[in-house]
Amino acid sequence: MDNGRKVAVILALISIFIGFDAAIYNLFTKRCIDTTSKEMQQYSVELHRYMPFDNNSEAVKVESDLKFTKELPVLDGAAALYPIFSGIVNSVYPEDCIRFDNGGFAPESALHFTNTKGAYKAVVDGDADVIFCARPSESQLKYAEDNGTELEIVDIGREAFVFIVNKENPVDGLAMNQVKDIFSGKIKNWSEVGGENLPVDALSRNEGSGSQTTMDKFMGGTKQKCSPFGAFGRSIGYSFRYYVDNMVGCEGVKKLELDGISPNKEHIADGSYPLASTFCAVYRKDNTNPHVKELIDWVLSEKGQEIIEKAGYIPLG
Amino acid sequence: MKDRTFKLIITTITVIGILSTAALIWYTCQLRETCSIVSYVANGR
Repeated sequence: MDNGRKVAVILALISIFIGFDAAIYNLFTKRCIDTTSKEMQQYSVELHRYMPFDNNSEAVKVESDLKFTKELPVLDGAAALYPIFSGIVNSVYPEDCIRFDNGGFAPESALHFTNTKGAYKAVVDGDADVIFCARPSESQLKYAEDNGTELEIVDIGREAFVFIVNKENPVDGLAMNQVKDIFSGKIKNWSEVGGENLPVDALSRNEGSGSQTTMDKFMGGTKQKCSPFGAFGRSIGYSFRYYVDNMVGCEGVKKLELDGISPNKEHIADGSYPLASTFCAVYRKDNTNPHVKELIDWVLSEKGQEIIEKAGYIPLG
Repeated sequence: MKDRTFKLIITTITVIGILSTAALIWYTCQLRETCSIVSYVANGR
């Protein structure tokens, strides 16, 4: 082989590897890069954005007759509901009740944030008095049972479980059975539901998260499956409406209609959206803090429901 | 260019190429485990 051909072979080999790696990056790696803030990546919510008692925060506040000064119930909960329990603290608790050190809430703070999985563990272990989450998963209920505790679960507001696709996806809505067939692996291609001839990339979340618990209940025991070829197609995921609309700031997604009904506030409030559900305040039945039941009653009162509405969620109504 | 040199260059490029591809795949898998589902859908197709 003459030198010219040898150089050509070398350059071709380099080009093949560069091209292959560029394809992997563009097809797979780029979409996994989280462009949200560091705080959002660490906590799934921007804690400072809703920090109580901070003039620059978006934490909601209502004028409340209920004011605690001592024996403060420790609050914790899900990322998607953080604006609610931070709003409760902002309205009912004294200003010196928050301790935020080294990028997290200190143990002595009356406000904690450990997300759904951590919050359920915290309320069972006694590290939190009241948590704000979606209904518990089977494993979370089992954890409570194994630790000899019984949880009181009180519905405090309404929310919608939504399915999301990239905004470039031509599919705007699905039937409930189509969604189940997609996530069970029966429907593998978007063309089967009126979309393009591309594989379906059905995503899932980690076990114990509020959205995965809700999805498990929706699937009714049917196992979720994903196609290995899905990564070459278009994705479909799921989350809660408020989180998608207000907390993540991703303009690149759209929420799908279900059975022809869009997941807007009106359809969630009147129950016409098929996956409108409630979110809850949860506490141990044997909790001895004298203010826990008082706080729950307040959350269910007009003022408490005003917090929920001002924070952008749907009150029980 | 001598044949031996040519083979050495080809081998080196191949090894580096395989290692870099493997590293990229590993990095992608790591990112995928922790990235937000909403971000993933928004950044993808």
